Amino acid sequence: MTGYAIPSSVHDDFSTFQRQYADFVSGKLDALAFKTIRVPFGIYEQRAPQTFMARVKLTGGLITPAQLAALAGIAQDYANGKIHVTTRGGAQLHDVKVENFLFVIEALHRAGLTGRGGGGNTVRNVVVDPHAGVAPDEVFDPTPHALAMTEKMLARKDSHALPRKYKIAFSGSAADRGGACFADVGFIARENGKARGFRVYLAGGMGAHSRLGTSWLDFLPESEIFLFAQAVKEVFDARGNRKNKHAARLRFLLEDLGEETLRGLIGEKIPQVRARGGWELSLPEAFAPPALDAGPTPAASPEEALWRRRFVTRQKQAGYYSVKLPLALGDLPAEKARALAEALSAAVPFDETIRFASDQNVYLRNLPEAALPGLFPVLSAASPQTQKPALLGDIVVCTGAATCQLGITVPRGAQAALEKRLSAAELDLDALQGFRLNLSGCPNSCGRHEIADLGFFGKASRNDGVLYPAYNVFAGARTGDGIARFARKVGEVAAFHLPRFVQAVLTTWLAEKPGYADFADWIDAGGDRIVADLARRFENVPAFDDDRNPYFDFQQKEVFSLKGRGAGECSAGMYELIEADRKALGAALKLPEDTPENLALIRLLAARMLLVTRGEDARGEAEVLAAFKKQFLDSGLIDAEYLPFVQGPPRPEVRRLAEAVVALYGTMDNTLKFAGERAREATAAVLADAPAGRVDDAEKAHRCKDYRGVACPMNFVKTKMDLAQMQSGQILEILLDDGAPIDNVPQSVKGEGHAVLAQTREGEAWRVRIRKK
Amino acid sequence: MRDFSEEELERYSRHILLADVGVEGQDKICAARVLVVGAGGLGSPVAYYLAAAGVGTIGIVDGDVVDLSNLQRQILHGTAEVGVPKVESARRKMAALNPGVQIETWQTMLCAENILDIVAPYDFVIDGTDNFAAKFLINDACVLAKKPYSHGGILRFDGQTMTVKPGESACYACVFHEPPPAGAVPACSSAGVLGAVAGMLGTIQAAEALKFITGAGTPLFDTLLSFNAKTMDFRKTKLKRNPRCRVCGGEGIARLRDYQPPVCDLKG
Repeated sequence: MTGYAIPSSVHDDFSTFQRQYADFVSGKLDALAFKTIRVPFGIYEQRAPQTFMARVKLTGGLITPAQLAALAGIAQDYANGKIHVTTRGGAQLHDVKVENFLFVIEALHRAGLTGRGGGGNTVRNVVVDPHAGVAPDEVFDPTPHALAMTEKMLARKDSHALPRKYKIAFSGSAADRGGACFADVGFIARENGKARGFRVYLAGGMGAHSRLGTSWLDFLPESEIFLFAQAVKEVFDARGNRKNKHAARLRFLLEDLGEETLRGLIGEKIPQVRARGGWELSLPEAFAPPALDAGPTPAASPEEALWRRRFVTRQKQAGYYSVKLPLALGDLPAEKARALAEALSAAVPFDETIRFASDQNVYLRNLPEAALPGLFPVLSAASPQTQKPALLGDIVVCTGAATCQLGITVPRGAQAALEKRLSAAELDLDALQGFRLNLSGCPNSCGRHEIADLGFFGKASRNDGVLYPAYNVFAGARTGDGIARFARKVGEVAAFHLPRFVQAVLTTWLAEKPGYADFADWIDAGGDRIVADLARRFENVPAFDDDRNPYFDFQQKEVFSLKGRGAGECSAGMYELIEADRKALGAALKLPEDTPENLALIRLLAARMLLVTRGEDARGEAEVLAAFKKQFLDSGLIDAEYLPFVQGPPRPEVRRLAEAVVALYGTMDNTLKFAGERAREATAAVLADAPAGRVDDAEKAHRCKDYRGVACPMNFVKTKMDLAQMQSGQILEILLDDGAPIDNVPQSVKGEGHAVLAQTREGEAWRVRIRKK
Repeated sequence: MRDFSEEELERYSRHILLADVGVEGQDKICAARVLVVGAGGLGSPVAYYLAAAGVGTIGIVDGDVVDLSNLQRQILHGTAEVGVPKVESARRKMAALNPGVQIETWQTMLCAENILDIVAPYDFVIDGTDNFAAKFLINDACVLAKKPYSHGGILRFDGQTMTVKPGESACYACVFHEPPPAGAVPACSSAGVLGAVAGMLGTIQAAEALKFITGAGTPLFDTLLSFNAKTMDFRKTKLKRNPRCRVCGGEGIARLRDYQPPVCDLKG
């Protein structure tokens, strides 16, 4: 049992890939068409044009020393010389050139590895608890199940063109180290009498809309895991949302249909899949290392002894040890990987020694104690993290605003500052082994802040009109069968103070620790209030003119700003800013007196409130008013009649201006666009789409209606009403929501004999042009 | 075209969605005037569905008060309304279902003397009576006044219906000539009837009225639809206008008369 076998279908797919690659290179196939072919092979384009990243599937992170050495060779020959461990326990090679695609894939296939299903809307790398097979607490080793699942899924065509990715995870025990509770389909090993099987969780996942998996089945016999996963996949394939990839994962389908309906659909599908056959599994034997006679323990140097305490654990098999190799940001240099592969081959006579894990570290296993002294120097050389307390190496961060367009803050900078502070502090970090400290640069969960003991996500706050980087603070997540929950928000801190805040929390927790089973217990027993109190001490920053340091994000050379940070899918940080101004504006409007001070405040807040949506963060009254004039008055979003009120001393009419701004805010959608803007853009899109020569006045819509938010079938009813009131040949334009409305209404309109002229995407919605029959 | 309110659009959305009805069809329904004769076994479902459909004005004629024995099939009336005039009980239920429809009540029995005045303002008439004398009188009046109407009759497990367009399709008298001699055929009130059969036939009549108003489909012109609820056999019999029909053929009838026994004395 040393990894999955590549099914012959993958080799067939590769032959197709080779032909299409030739067409692409010779210019017969365009880049976009080729993209749909390379991505399911795990090849993604990087930020720099014409450089690519190759993803390698490693089921459960299993890789043999020989494969590791082969991967190291490929990384040196065709990539940037590093092996990157992914958050699904797979591998990635970066900076691959187009001309080397085929070499990379062929070399991977020779090593028994493939990137098929590595990316795109496919069945992704199956994750297994990195301690599966060695953990003392496990019911049984689910690795064979994950391998069998991978082989079955890989061999099926329908695994590679799903509405969205499909993630499967296995855990061997209730501790759920495989993350079954956060997977599309998660399996946690159980025994029912003597029968082996799994508790199944469905439709979990983390992202902008995270969801804990729903406990779906108490016990699924091990022989039926593929049958079940395939049935769910087919339902997902048939019913999933292919139009909006941000609402396409299985968890959105569940919320759309409701649990009962989804259960019904899956319940109908299972007998069909069963009747077709081919779902039966042949489970490989779980690997068991030969029994050992534990010899005398050799004395270890103090450094080695410290390393052992931090990273070496005893396995359930007597005499064997597991070792964690912590990596900085998941990177393992190729030459270190090769050295590691050689050392492992020399130390033990079998291949079952390495697992890449979704925490982006490497775990070694089945090592006799006698092998440890020889491995210590190899591992120490492989990663400087081995010389640090495990806590520091375990901190999870996303890339943040440094490279991600959605990011608001730079959590990697925060992590570096945090590591520096904690290393210098008089804190027993080794006593905090296993503490999960995670940071994201925005509300999306790439930094896994929702499953942290102490988690953070980046946001913008404002002091006296000036923006500064900050973090929302989350605490108390739990993982485990039946007890999983996300961390909850307990407060916010300035980014500048984050390292001191974390130090304060950890110091407090170390003192409290003896009284509690774990951090989440302490949080539940009132620790949340203590953490919240601490956060309040680190929430505020001094005035910009007194100390500018808090107004810079870590590692940044310019004052923190949201400028140019457009309408990402994650604008939650901006909403908080807008809401703060809106609240203050509401309070100011309630004061009956028209004192010059109050009117000036109303005008400032009204003018500033929506500026962030335009990527403006003007400071000072004059700058704010000028930016408001440019962005809102000159553009026509706010009526030009208000122009006189933003000039000169504030007048009582600014109250009306404020109401106009609040009304405009009411029309804002979650792409930060306003009603007027949407209509203009849509018209532009339709004009752009219309065939040349047909864009004349007669083509202008006679009637435009916004039926977003109107559910089926009332949107169609209203459309019929509009058409009934129009003349034959006139044009009706309607806005429809994505999903059922766009799937059904144009179809029905056509069914009644009208012509649908155009259907254009507009943010989350669709604009449809209809000519009355 | 009527300007439908949001509430009306939603209320009538399932009509509007129908390609054959649509906004235009619902507009016609809302403008229509239908008279339902009899607020009994047939009149109950007919009047209730027409009110639900939004028929603009619904007239309802019945001289009776609610009797406990009615309640097994006359679903417009409730136990608490025993003794209340049927038209009053019907009006309450219909208004509660759809306050948007106008309901005109006639607490009287039709007879040769009053029927022409009563049917005059309506576009379509539903015969929901339970005796031959009334059915022939309605037929005669509708032919005279040129009002399209739906005939319906039920007995035991059987029902029959036809839709008449005077001057164009066969009328009731083209098919059945004269009422049977008194006592030859029992009225349903004395012979018994399965309550649900009244519902089956009444809803067919309501559908016929709505089809006629909207122009959707083909009404049961020149067609007698009959069914037996025990076997659930439905049968359509093709009919032809009788050129010598004593009511609608030749010279036809010039004036109305009451058939025997006098309709006005019958208990519905």
